[in-house]
Amino acid sequence: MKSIDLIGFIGVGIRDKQYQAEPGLIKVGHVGICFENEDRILGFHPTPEAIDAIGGAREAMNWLRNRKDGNRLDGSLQDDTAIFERAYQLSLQGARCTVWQQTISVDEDTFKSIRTQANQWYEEQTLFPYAFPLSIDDIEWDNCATFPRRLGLTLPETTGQLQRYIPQLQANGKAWRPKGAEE
Amino acid sequence: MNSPVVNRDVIEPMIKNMEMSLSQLAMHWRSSDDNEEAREIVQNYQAILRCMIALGFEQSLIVEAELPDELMPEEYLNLFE
Repeated sequence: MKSIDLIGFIGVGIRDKQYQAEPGLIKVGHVGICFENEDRILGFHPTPEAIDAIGGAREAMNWLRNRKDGNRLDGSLQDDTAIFERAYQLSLQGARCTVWQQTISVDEDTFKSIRTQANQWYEEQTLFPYAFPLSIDDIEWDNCATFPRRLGLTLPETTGQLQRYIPQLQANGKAWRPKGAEE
Repeated sequence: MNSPVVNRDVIEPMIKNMEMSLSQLAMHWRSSDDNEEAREIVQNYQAILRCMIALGFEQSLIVEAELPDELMPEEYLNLFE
């Protein structure tokens, strides 16, 4: 059997002045996937081009929180390892963004197939519609937490609400720390 | 007569559940194409958040649990001024 980790944290929010300079994903919270024997964590979120097109990070955050038709942005799989490392550092300083990981075991063939697909989407920067969680099925959307379903992985929580999803990672897994970080 | 004491062990799980409700309501609001339904969701959302603040909540909500700024209660926005 081989393992695939779901890794995630709850964001620090957009209001607290001490976190204003942090990257958007630290504020929003994030979930990524990491394949056995790899250090890179791939996460799904809006592309820099989509964020630029809508007027920047603040406007993107406003757009995603709104209710206009299909409030979505183009998203892709990106290398977000540094984001998870930053969340880990902040959590050591008392921020609420403790990073959790849940390991999913799959057979060798499934592992190869999922890793090949994820790498292809990452290399080709394949676009998928990104939205904050929605309760409707008639439009296509994913956020970072639901994206692993596209790869055939079973989600620990299906709505994609990080408030519910991250506690499931915690309940089914353990605290994550970057490679080389002290126990 | 002794007044009842509500300690943090009681309040914190209550606030946590209310936060979950806000996340759920924000999700339904974003998904609604019915203005009347959306208006009712906002009323419920604001009532819950005001109640949370009255109980001592003073953190930044998780982003996806927030509505646009113009629909967030003033009591919440004032926490961060």
